[in-house]
Amino acid sequence: MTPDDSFLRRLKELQPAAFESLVEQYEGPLYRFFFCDHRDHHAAQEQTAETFAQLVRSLQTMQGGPEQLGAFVFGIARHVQRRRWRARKQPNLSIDSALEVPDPGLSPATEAAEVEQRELVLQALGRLEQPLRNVMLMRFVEDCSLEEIAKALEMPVGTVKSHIHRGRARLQESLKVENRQK
Amino acid sequence: MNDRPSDQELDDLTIKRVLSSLRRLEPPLESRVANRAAIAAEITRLTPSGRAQALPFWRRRIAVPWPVAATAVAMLLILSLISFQGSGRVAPVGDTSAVGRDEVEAVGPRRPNESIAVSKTPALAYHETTTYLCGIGPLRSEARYLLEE
Repeated sequence: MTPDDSFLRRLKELQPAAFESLVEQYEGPLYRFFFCDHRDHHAAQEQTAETFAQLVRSLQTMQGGPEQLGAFVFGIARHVQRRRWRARKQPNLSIDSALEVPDPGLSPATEAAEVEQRELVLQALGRLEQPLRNVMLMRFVEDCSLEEIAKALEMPVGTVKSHIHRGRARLQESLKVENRQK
Repeated sequence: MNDRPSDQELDDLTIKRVLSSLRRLEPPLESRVANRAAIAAEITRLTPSGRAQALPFWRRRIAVPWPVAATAVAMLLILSLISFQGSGRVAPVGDTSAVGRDEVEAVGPRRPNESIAVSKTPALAYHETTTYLCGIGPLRSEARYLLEE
């Protein structure tokens, strides 16, 4: 869904219905953004809620049109993420937390295979340092444009491209390692 | 030939395919509830009614219809003008408190054993000076009583 001017205006007017649409659109991407960082789903829940609370406070100061909304949302998420890094000094990688995430609508065998596949991908992604991990996640999981990623992560578009190039190679290498270990 | 995807596009497609399992990672129900609760709490805090409840009564703002506000301002202006004009009012006749004592004493104190013989009785004269500015009204008003021989 591409946000339009009236949607942004209703958000700035603090209309609850507009925020319901916003939550529907971004709670999944934000949850994945945080979860892939530290794989602690309780912390990911807290950070997602904190991001939405900060969004309500900060939307009045948002500059630009509705096409900037995605970058604005992820920009706030990045600040929430960094606050946690500073508080914890290093990201937390808890493998067990990843297995607790429910995936409804699948048979047990399919779900087990899905979980295993996801675990391989998370481990490969976890080997990437930041901001490579954020860039790869936003580009290949959330389908963000290069401009959106650049604005959200506060880096030039050229740097984003460079990170994607490096991240691509590192991810391929990591996945080969995972497959060999399997 | 030109329809074949480039190596980079193939790589991007492969990576997308690999990472696609992450797209099915959705937040649990309790996370969805928490998100909506956080937003509702912030909206309540930021809306005027929510803010007003948090402030003591002497810091709360009130909404006044503009005709009422305009009438109050106009009345204040009128009262100010009336009080300003009242400060330049002439002292009533017979009120000698504004008499310049210098003028009276200029006649001279009576010396002892001196009979006073004056050719004529000193008269109390009233002088009033008012400065008007066209379009504004009286700017300055001065009234005084003088003893003249």
